[in-house]
This record gives sequence, structure tokens and C-alpha cells, in this order.
Amino acid sequence: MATFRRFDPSDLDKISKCNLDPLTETYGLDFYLQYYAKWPSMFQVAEDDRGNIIGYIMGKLESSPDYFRNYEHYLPWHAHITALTVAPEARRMGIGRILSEKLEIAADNGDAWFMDLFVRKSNHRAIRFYESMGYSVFRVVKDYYGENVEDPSAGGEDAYDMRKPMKRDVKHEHIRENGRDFEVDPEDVF
Amino acid sequence: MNGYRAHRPSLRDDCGMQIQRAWQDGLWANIINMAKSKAKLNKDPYFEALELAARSQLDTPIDRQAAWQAVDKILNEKAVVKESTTVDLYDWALVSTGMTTEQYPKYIGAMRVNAVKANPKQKEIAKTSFFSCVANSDWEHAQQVLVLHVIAAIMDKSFPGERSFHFRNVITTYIYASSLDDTDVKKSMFRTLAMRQIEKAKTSRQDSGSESLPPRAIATQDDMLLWLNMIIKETKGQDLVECLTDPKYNALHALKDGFETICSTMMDHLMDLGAWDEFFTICKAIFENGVAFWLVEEHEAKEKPKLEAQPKQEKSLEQKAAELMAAMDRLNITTPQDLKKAKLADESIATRTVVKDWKMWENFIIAAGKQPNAKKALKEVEEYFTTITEFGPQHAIYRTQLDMAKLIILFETPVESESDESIASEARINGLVAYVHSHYRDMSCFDNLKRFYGLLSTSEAKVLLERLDTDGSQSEESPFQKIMLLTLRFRLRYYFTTASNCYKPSYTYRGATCGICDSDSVPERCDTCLKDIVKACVWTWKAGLKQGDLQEKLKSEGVSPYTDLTIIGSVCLLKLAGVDGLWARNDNSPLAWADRKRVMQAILWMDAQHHSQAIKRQDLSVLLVKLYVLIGAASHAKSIWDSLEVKNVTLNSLGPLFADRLGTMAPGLWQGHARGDTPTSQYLHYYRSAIEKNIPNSLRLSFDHGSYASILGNLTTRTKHKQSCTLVMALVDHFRGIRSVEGEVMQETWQDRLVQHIKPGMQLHDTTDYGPFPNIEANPDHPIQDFLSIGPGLSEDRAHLSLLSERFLCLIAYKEPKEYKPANAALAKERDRNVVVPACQDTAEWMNTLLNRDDIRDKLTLPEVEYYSLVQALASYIGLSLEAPKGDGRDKLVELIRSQLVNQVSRLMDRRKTVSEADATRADVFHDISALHANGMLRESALATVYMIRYLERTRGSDAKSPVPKWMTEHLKILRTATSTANRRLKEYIEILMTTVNPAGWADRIAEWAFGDLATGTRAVSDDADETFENSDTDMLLYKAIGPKRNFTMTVDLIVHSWADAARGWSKAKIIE
Repeated sequence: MATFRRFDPSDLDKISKCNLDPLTETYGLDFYLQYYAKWPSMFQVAEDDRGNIIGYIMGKLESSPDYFRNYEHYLPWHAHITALTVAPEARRMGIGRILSEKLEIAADNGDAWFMDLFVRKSNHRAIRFYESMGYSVFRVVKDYYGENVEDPSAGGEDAYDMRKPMKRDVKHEHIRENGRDFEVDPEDVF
Repeated sequence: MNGYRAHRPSLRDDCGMQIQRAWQDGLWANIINMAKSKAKLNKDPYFEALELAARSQLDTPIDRQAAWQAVDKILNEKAVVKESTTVDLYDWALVSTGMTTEQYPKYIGAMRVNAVKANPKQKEIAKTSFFSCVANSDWEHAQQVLVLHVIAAIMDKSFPGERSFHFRNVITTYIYASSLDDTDVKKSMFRTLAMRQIEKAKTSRQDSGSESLPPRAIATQDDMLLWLNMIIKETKGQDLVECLTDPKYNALHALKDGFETICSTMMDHLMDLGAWDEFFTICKAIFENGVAFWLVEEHEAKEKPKLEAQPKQEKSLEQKAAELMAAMDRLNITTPQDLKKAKLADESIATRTVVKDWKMWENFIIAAGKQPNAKKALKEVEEYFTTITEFGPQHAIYRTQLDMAKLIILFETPVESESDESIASEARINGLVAYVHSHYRDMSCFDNLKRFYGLLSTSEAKVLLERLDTDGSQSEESPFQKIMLLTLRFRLRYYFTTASNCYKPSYTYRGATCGICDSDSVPERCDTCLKDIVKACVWTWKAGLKQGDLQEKLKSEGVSPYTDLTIIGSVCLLKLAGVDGLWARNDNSPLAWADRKRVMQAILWMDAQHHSQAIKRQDLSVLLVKLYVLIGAASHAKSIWDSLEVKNVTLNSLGPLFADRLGTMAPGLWQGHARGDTPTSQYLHYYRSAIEKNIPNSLRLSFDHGSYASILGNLTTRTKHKQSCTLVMALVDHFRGIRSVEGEVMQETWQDRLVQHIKPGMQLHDTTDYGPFPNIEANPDHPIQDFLSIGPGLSEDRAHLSLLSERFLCLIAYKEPKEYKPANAALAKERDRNVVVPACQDTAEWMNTLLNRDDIRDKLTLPEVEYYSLVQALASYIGLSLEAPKGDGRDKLVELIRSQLVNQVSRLMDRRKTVSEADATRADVFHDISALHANGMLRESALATVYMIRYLERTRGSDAKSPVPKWMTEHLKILRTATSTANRRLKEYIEILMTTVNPAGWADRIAEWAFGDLATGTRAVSDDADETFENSDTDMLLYKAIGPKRNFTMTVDLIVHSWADAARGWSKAKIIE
């Protein structure tokens, strides 16, 4: 069973179910605490009956710096999913969706135009997951990831920059239908 | 403050390029010269500070002390350093020369406040000074800085940021009050001040209505969380209940504000306080609102409820309209579109979220069960849940949640008469079976149901097992369902085998009868059941290996019942082998008397399953790590551990699962310590960064972003890190490991800033996460990890004992630097004695207190009990022998300590006799190599004794006027003989280990250990075709499944190589005489 709440630093002592999974990266303390300090409502966890953290999502609210305002890739005030993980034993239950929905609520509260995230082009499962939640590809970031999972001989792997409009974007001005046709370089991405 | 303690401060712009460049390059001599001339020329105190900061980086003591003296002078003369950049330089100079956070307030904190006093309107100075104090936990000065600044802000209405400074002031005052001792009169004063300020901020919000809030009113959920955290911390019992149920502001009002976190926190605390009635009343209202909001929301979204598992009965249009009208009436709205209004929209989202949360449901059930008419209340609650589940997204977890809630309600509903009991019992079993049938696919199915197993009677347990057995066996059409149900059944049977309530007392020699199989048994360990479970698991596991289609299906479902079968079967084998953790308390290792055959079978089976997985199951990996450490194969355990990538934040909680006691058993892993390459180096790096950099940075960010709850959370995190048992473990094992390589005591433990603040008696936190272990035992006091470890897990008492021992060693090993030539050597010695004697007495006293605690034997291995008792005796001996109390009692006391020392060393050595007299057939190697930890503690004991002898000889021996007295000479001679014997035996042991582990032929031997005559070929391996479950035996099944496989040979090779590594490491260990 799972209950959902804001992250607390003591949760870091109970994240083994998620972080022993090879697909979940373990960062330094400063990384987690930065989100906890700046965007506490955008760091949500799912906890099981024994107090184990079986899923968490980390997000932030930001825009490109002001001096980029006239730049074509300028990002207005938006929310970003930095990390989303669910423990193997808790997958297929909808925990990832609930965590994402909670982040969307926080993004709406923060008056964001849209929510975005980066995902490997080869991660079809994740792409399907986000598409089913209303996200669409906004652009392709060429060679965003250093290593190519499907082809180790390739220089890098492309990322999809996926977006979902938030309530503020009533006219859906910040998404597009043919996002897969728009390619940008990693340095264009804030 | 970025990297506050790590980075040198930026210099003032007017310093000039030459100084700036020299500062960047660390050319201290150049800076000293240039700063000196600038100071002379400009009469600017900044350059004096710069010169002192540069001098603090030199090696000479006089230069390193210069900044301290200057700061002392400034403070004594009540001079004020106005520029905060100048204070930054002094701050850095003092930190560089060892200033602790405890010393900060007296020196730098005071200077910071003076700088703000001199510039009350300078926002930047106030900010820098404030954050510097915060980073160093100097809350007194941080609070003074803010008060000065807030006053300045009030005086000047145009001052920006008044609101944030106000809330900073509240929380800083509160933290300062909390940091004071209870006896300090200021504590109550500042606490009251902070509470009044925050209450006023809350009242301002309530009084102002919702449109325009006054600047000092609570505005955000984070402001409100600050109020709530302070109230919860400072109010107790019924007062807190009243506060949380205040008709003006309770959880319902929090939801009206859209503050979901506030609501949940308030409700959690009501439950913690046992305020069932209050909880039930408020929760009911929340659910009423929740249903109304969902109804209106779904109507508005024009979404039809689509619950598949619980098809809703079609309602007439009139019914639907009536429900909608009632809902709008409850919410006080006239049209569904009203929900789009900002405040109502927030309330709707928060309420709809809260009523779907599992914890709220669980507590609602508990509270309903406490109502006078529990049956009715539970029924009511179930109806809410069913209704709520029909709304919104139909995630699988909500369906599981509803089924689980119904099951809990079923178990909680009181049975009114005895005659109803059999019906209720049947309903409970049916409920459990129905849940299993709906959720057998979930990996968490067994864990979710665990809360109910203990509530079943033995006969109910048997019925449940039979039902699952029948269902599992009959699922021929679905091999997937069959394997999942059978695995669940085996896990369940194991659970009942470990449950005390499944045993009846009997008059047989074993003392009990197993309620499941009716055999005579030892309570909580029925051998018949364990053997049955192993056989059934091996049979099912072996059969499954051949089913390719099923493997594909399991992969697509993301489950691995074969890993579960392996774990249950192997754990049964270990229990049958006699591995239960109890021997660790009475002998050198939990494997001291274990059946080698069963242990090896368990390891080889687990390893075979581990290798067969493309994606490793982490619980299996962790179990293997523990087992390999247990059998002395530390280097192989390390390679599996490394694959788990435990690093950074997970070190604090998961590190002990591998690294605990490693410093005593695997000297080989510390051979690279000169390069900083030890299993514990990364821990020390992590704690240094966390405590000195990451947490202070996060505190600053929390203040900057108004995340007040995060400020309190950061402070708790800092305390937990500074007082972490894992930190102590890492440091102690680090130095023990290095000592095993170098043979010398290092000084660092005593001086290390990481543990300097830990005083005996201080609360320490064990944050070990045992989550990765399978949760299949019935007795929570005897989990799997307890019997798969060398000894008991981390504890506060063990951490203190280990730290006291390390400090004792540093104390007696301390030598003045060679350059130190005291004018009066005798006086210097006298001074040294005046420090050492009381410190030793203090150490002995604390260790004595800890060692005499009733439960201390549950927290230490036997070798640790002996080692700490020995160190305690050594510390007492120094105190007594150097203080030389007069009278007859002295000799008696000294003799007592001497005999205790000799006895402890002798007891440690006695166990080695079996090794030295071994026939070198390697038969005993399995048990001997699994006792490396005891070996390490013996080495440490001998080393401590040698150091004490050296200290006493050094202290008394070189003083011509006061030579070593005759009685002491005799004592030291006896102790030296004892340590020489211990060391000699240790060397003999290592030699035997080296000669027995290294030769070839081990692969066959290990196979023989595990499978006996099957491995040697004396017994024929049966044909699969003739095999039935009834005519097969476990050894044969296991051997056929894993024996002939390539992985088997590889695993055996790895074990043997790892043992050879261990022996090699020990052969290089330095043993001092």
C-alpha cells in the first residue's frame, strides 16, 4: 500500500527500494536538499506501510534567465520533472502517475505555463507513459545523452523534450503537434 | 556561503591584481608581504586580516596562532570590525586552523554581530552575517543579527524584504530557544516570544479574511507549516488535541486554504494522540466534502465513472440530479462552474487528493473501530471508500486500496456472539483468498497481507495454506498463476513456521508441537516444516527452469517468483544448518557450530539464481553479500556490493549492511589506504561534505525561499548526520583497518572534527535501512538480517564503546612532535599525566557503565565484549597505577585488573588452540575463516595492551627521579608475556590459514561439502524421468539443478580466491610487539 506526501530528508535513509534499482541514479546530498529547500511542494514521495520509500518525483519551477528573453529557445516560467522513480515491486500500480499528477498540481499552483522533461529517445516505455498522461514531444535534442543505450558505437543519444500544457496555457501555445520534426542542439537547451 | 568551510573567501575588489592572483594561487608568503605594506600604507584593518589569513596557511605554530590572538585582542578590547569582508578573512583563518562550530560563537559570531551593529541598515552585511552564524549553528548571534535588522527595517518603512525578515526572525528565535539548556532562563523567554509572534501571524491571517493579507500574516502553506511544526513541538497531550481541533482552524479549514500537507499532518497527529473521536468526526466531514467535490468535478468534466471491478449500479437521471444538487448545497455553490473560482478550486483539489490517500483511509478505519458502535461506523467508512474509488483516474493502486480496506474492515468488525465466530472465521479466510486471487500478480501481495497472518488461529492458518495449495495446484491452465500462488503459499508456510502462536507447548524434549505439521519441534523452528518447504521450493524452482514460455511471461509481468523460491528455500537451509545468530553471542561467529553442508547449499543455490538473472533482484544480492562476509569471503562480497552502487546519500542507511566490522576482519581491503582507497574512505568524504557544506547550503536556500519547514528539516538532518552510528562505524572501522596494515595507532580519531562533538552519553542515531531484506519472518524481533550478520547491528551503545576505545588508544599513543623540547621535561610530563589520568578514569567509568547495561550482550559480539572489557580494564589500570593510591587496597586492585587482562587475552587465545592443533586437512577452515572478526578483535586487544605498556614505560621509565616502581615492572612483565603469547598464536593462525587456503583442490572439496557422495560420484545421480516429488530428495534435486552448471565452478572459484585474498591480507597485517 502507498501513501503520498512531501519529501522529508529522513526519507533518504529509506530509499533503498528505489535506489538499489540500477535504473535509478543516487546523487549527492546537495542535489536532494536543493530541491527540498527551493521547491518543497515539488518533491513528493510514495511510502509503503513499513516506511520504505517506494517512489518519488523531483521537480522544479523556473524560466530561462532574463537575458535570454529574446532568444528563440527562451523558456518561460514552467515546471520541470527532474527525476521520477518507482521501486520495481511497486510498478504497474499507477504510483508514477499519481506522483506526476501531484507535481502537476504544484505546477499549476506555481502558475507554470507547462511541465517539461527529457527522456531518452530509446526509452519507449517512458515515452508511452508520458504520452498517456498528455505529454507530447516538443523538440528533439540531438546527442543530449553521452552514451547511446541501443548503439554503443554511436556518439550519443537524442532526447525528447516532452511537454504538457498547464492550466495557465489555455490556448496551448507552448506545445506543438509536430515536435519530432524540430531538432535543437544540447547548448540550445536551458 | 557556497562551500562555506571549504573555499577561501573572495577578496575585495580594491586589493589589486597582484594580491588577487597570489590569493588564487595560494602564494601565502607573497600575500603576507604585500598585505603588510598595504596595511602600513592605508591603515586599513582589512589588510591586517588578509596578512593573518595568509599566515594561517603556513606550517609554523606561531603563524597559525596569529589570527586567533588577533581576534582575541579585538574582542577583549571591544574593538569593532565594521567590514564583513574583513570578518570573512578572520573566519576563514580560524576555520583553517581548527575552529570548531562550538568555538564559532565566542570568536566569529561575536564579531559578526558587532559588524551589523555598526552598519544596521546594510542589508548585505546583515545577510552575510546571518548566514554565517546559521551555517555554524550560532543561533544566538543569528537571532541578534536579525533583531538588529528587523528594528532597522521597522524604522525605515522603505526597507525591502520586511516580511521575509519577520518570518526569519520568528524561526531563528525559536531555534535559538530550542538550542538552549532547559535550565537557561532565556529559553522560556525566547520560546514564548517566538510562539507569540507565530500565533499573531496566524491570527492576522484569520482576522483579515482571504483577500488582502497584512505583511506579517501567514500567507503560504510553508508559513503555516512553520506554525504547525512549532505548535506540535511545543504543545502536548490534550492541549495539542484542542489546538488541532480548534473550531476556528483545524484540518477542514486547512483544506479550505488548499493546504493538503497541513491537513494530513494535523490528522496524523490526532491519530498519534489517540484522539479517535475527534479524528473520526473531522475525517467524516472531509469525506463528505470529498464526495461532493468529486461529484461536482466529474459532472463538470462530463466523465462517467468507470470502475471496472465494482460496476456501479445505473442511477436514474433524477437520482443523479439530486446527488449533484445535494453536493452543491454542501459546498455552498450555485453552479458546478463555481468550482473554477481560485479558492474553491484549490479546496477541491486538496480535498479530492486527501480522500484518496491510503494513510487517511487506514486511520479512518482505526478511528471507526474505536467508536461506540464500531460495526455501524465501519460500514459507513466502507461506503465512503467505495464511493470515492468510483471517481477520478482508475489507477490499479486504488483498487488494491479498496480491497485492502475492505479486508481490514472485515478483520476489525467486532463479532457479536460466539456462534457468529465460525461464520466470521470463514469470511476472513474467504476474504484473504479473494484478495490473493485478485492481487497475486503484485510483488507486494505477501507483504500487504502480512498484517493479517498474525491474527489467524493455527487452524485458520492451516485452512488458508490448504486453500492456496489447492488453488495453486489446480491452476493447470495458467502456469503463471500456479507459480505465483505456490510461491505465495511457501512464503506463507515459512511465516507460520516462524510464528510462536503456531506452536503448542508439549512435554517432549523439544518443548513444542508444530501446529501446522503436528511434529515435535523447537518453538519457532519446526525442522519438519523447514525441510518440507526446502524440498517444495527446490522442486518448483527446478521444474520452472525448463519452462521457457513461463519465463517469458514472468519477464513481461516484471516478477521473479524463482528468486522468492530461492530465498525462502535458502533461508530454510540456513535455519536447518543452525545459523540463527545466537552463536555470535556465545562464540566467535554465528557459523561456529553451523552445519557446513546446509550453509554451502544455501549459498550455491542463491548464487545460481543470482547469475541466472539479467536484472538482479536486490534482496538476493544483499543476502549474498551478507553470507559471503559471514563465511570470510569479504573480497567477493565487496564485488557484489559494488555492483549495487551504494554511494552518496545511501551510505548512511545502507553502508552498514556491508561495511560494519569489516575493519576487524579484512585487512587486505585496507592495503590501499595510502592512496585513500579503503572501503570507508567514501563515507568520511560524504559526512564531511554533508555536515560542513551541503546542509549549511541548503539551510541558506531554505531561508532564501521561505521554506520554513525545510529549515527545521535541515537542522534535524544535520543533527542526525553529526550523531549517526554509521558515521562512528565508518570512522572506527577506517582506523581499525589502517591499524591492521600499519600496526600503529593514528591520531586522527581523537582530532577528527567529524566526531569531536560526540561526548559519552550523547544520543546517537542508528539509521540502518533493513528494507532490502526479505520480510518473511513472523517475529519482528528476530529478522533475517540478525542471523545473517557477524553480530548485532549498529547501536548507540556499541558506537560509544568503539569511540571511547579509539580515544583511549589515541590518548596513550600520543607523542609530542620531535621538535618539541620543553624547558622543564618533568613539568611537561606532569602536565601530560594530569590530562591522561582523568581522561582514562573518565573513559573507564563510561565504558563500565555501558558494559554493565542489561542488554549490552544483545548489542555486541562476544569478541567485542571481551575487547571493550579489556580496554576498560586498561584505562582503569592507567588511572590507578599513575595516581598510585596509598594503602593496601592498591595492590589488590591492580592484581584484579591484571588477572582480568590476562584472563581476557587467554580466553581469546583459547579458541585458537583448535586451529593450531588442526590436522591441516582443511576440514576446519570453513569454521575458522568465518571467525576472522574474532581474530581482528584479538589483534586489537593485543595492540591496545602493548600501547598501554609502552605508555607506562614512557611516562615512568625515562624519568630518572621517578623510575618505574618495582610493582609496576612486575605487572608490565606479565602483561608483555600475555601479549607476546597472543601475538604468537595469531601469527601461527595466519600461517595455518595461508597454507590451508592456498593449495589447489578446493573446488572438489567445496562441492563435496555441499553435496557429499553425489559430488564425489559415490552415489549415482538419478534420472529425471524417474523422479517424482515423493521419491526425490532435496540434495539430489539441488545437485542436479546447480551442480553440473558452469556457474557452480565459477562460484566455487570465487569463494576460494576470496578466502585466499583474506589469508593474504592477514599475512600482511602488522602485529606489533
